[in-house]
Amino acid sequence: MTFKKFESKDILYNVLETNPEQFFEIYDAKIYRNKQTHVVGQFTSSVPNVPTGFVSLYELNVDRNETDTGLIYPFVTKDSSLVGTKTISTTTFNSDFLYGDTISGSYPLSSSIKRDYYQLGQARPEVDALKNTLNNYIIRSPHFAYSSSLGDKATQRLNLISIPSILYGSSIKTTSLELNFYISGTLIGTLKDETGNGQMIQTGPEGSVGSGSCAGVALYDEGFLVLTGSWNLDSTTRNYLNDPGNLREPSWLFFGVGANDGIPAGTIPSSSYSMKMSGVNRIPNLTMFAHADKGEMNHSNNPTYIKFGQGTSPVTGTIGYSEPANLEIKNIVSSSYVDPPAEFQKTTYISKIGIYDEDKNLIGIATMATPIKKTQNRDLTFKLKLDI
Amino acid sequence: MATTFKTLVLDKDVANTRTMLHEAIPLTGTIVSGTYGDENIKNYAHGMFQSVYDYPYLSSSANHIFDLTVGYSSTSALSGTTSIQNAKKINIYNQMAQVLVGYNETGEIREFDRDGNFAGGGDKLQECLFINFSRLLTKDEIKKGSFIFTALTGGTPVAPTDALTISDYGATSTYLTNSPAGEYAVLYTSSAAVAGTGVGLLYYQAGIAVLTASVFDGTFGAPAATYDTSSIEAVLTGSEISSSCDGIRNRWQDCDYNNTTELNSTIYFCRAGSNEFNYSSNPTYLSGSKIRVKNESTDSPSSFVTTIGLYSEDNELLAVAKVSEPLKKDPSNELTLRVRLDY
Repeated sequence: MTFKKFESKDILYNVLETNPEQFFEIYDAKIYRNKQTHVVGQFTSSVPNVPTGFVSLYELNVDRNETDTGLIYPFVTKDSSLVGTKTISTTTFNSDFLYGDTISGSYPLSSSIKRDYYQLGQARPEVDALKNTLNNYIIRSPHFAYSSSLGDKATQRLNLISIPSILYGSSIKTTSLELNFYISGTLIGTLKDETGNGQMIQTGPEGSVGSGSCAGVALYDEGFLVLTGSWNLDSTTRNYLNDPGNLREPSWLFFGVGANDGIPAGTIPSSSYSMKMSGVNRIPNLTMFAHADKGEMNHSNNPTYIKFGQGTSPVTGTIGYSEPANLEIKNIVSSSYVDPPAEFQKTTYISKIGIYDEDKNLIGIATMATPIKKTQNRDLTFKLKLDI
Repeated sequence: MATTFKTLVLDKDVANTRTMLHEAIPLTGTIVSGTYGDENIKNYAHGMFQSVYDYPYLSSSANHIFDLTVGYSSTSALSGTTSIQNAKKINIYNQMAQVLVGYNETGEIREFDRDGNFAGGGDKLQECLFINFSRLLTKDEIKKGSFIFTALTGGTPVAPTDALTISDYGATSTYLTNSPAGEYAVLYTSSAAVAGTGVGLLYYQAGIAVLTASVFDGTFGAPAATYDTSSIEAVLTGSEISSSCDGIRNRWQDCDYNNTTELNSTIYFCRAGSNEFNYSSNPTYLSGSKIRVKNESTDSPSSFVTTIGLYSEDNELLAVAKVSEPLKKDPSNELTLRVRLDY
C-alpha cells in the first residue's frame, strides 16, 4: 500500500446551513405538525406511538405495544462509569441500584410545542428563569425588557409558547415566524417579525384592531415566544380559560389554547391557530480532494492484476525465502482483433479510497459506485465529503 | 470570558471511560407476518433477498428491520441446473461466506463451519438461511448471549407448531474471533452449548444470523403457497428465494436480542481549591466599586460557580459545561466538578 498525503489546499472545512420548515396547526386541544394526520395502527392508537404534533426522538416502537409486539427499550448496567438514564435521579442512582444492576428507560421519547398561560400576578417560574435572557436582548428592542414602562413580565398576563430545539436545531430562523389566529376559519390576526429583531408585530388582516402593534417577543436561540398583546381581536367572548364563568375575548394571550396546556378538547371549538417557522441547523462538513495524477496509482496488488496461471507460490528453503520475480501483468486493453493484441498499457480500476491518519490508521473508506478506470496518462481527482 | 485559567493535569484530572448502552429488541412473528398483509415486506426485481419493515413500507413511519435471504454452496446436494435461481442461491451463499468466513490458504471461499473450527474439519453448513438485521436495530453490535430466536418447526404452513428455541448459549464467555467480519458464536437449540450440535452462527458486529436449513425438518413455505411445500429442500430447489423467505417468516414466532452502543467518554475533574475561584469578574460582583458580597473588609470573599469553560492550549474556548444551579464557592470549601464529554 502506498500513501499520498493531502496538501493544505486539498482539505476544506465548510458549514452547511439547512432551514427545516415546521408548520403547526392547533385545533381543539390537538396539535398537527406538518399536516400529518392521525393514523390508527394495528396495535396502537397512533402509529408513531406518539400523539399527533409530537416528534418521536428515535422513531422506534412504530405501531408496537407491550402485549402483541413488545416494546424496544434502552437499558444500561450500573458500573464505575456512573452512567444512568436521565429519568433516574442521582439519589435514586446511588441508593436504589447496586453495581451490576440494570437501569432501564423507555421509548418513545417525544417532544412538542407547549403553551403556558399566566394570569395577572400568578407565579411564573418559567418566565422568571428567562429574566436575564430577556434583558440581554433589550439591545434589539425595548419590548424584551423583563420590566419596563411597556409592561412587567413578572406580573402581567402573559402567554408563553415553548418550542423544543429538536424542532428547529441551533435556532429559529429570524423573520420566519408567523402566527395566525382563526375564529371559525376566519383569520382575525397575524403576527410576524418582518424586521428580524424579535418583535412580533401584528401585520394582518389589514385594518384589524391592533394592527402594527407589538404583541410580544421571540427568543430565537432559546425557542420561546413571550406574547403579551392583550387587545381584543374579536368582540365575542369565549371560554379560553376553561372557566365558563370567566369568558374572554380572543387576544394573543389566548393564542395556542389547547397546545399541551391542560385545556381539554371541546372547550373552544371555534378557535384554531397556526404557527409557521424555519429552523437553523448547521452541519459542519469536510471536503477532501484526493488526486490520482498522471503516472500514479497505476499498479495494483489485487491478485487479478497479474496474468492468470502464473505460479505465485514463494520458494522457501533452509537458506532463503523468495517470491517469484517478473510476473506478467495482464493486458486488459481492448483490441478490435484477436491477433495482434492491443499494445500494453498499465491500467487499474480504482474502487476505493482509504483515508488514513498521521499514524497510518485507516479511519475512513470511500467506495465508488462503479470502479473508475485509471491509465498512466490520465489525471483523476476524487471529491470526498464527510459530514462531521 | 475567563481571565484566569487552571491547567488540567492529564494523568490526574482527565480520565477516559467506555460505557455500553443497550436496547432490548423484540421482533415478534406478529410484525414479521400476518398483521400487515405483506405490505411491510419488500421483494425486489433481482429476487435475491427480501426486506422486512416494522410497518407498511410505503409509510414514512416504517423502519427497515432486517433482510432475509437463502443460499447454498455449489457443492451442496441441492445445487443443480434444475434448481430454480440456482446461480443466485450459490452467489448469495458465496457472497455471505466471503464476507463472514473469508478464504482459505489457497484463495478459495470457505464454507460456513458448524463449530467455527476450520482446522478441525467437521461439518459444513451448506444450505443456509440468512437474517441480516438492520443497523438501526443492531447499532454497534448484538450483545453476546442475548440472542433468542424461536421458530415453529412442526405442523403445516397453514398451522405451524412446535416452537424450537435457538440461542447463542454461552457466548458471553465463549465466542470465536476467526472471522473477517468480527466476533461470532455458534447457535444451539438445546439449553446449553453442546459441541457439534450447532444449528447456525451469529455474527455480532455484522448483525447477521446464519441458520442451517436443516433446522426446519418438516413442511416449509408460505400458507397459501402454490409451490411444493413438502420440505425445505423442496422449497430451496423448486421455488424462488422469496418463497424461502416467506417460509422463514411463516415459521417465525419470536426473535429477541439486545444491541450495544459504545459510548466513549472523557471525564475532566475540574478542581477549585480553597483559595481559588472565590472572586468573580462578573459586573454584578461589584457595587459602587466594592465587592457586593463583603460587608466588612475582613469578610471572606465568595462567588457562585455557574459555568465551566474548557479551553485549548491556545486558550480558545472549546466547550462549556453548565451546572444545574449555581454552586457557592468561598475559602472554606473546595469543589471538584466532574465534567463528562460523550462522543
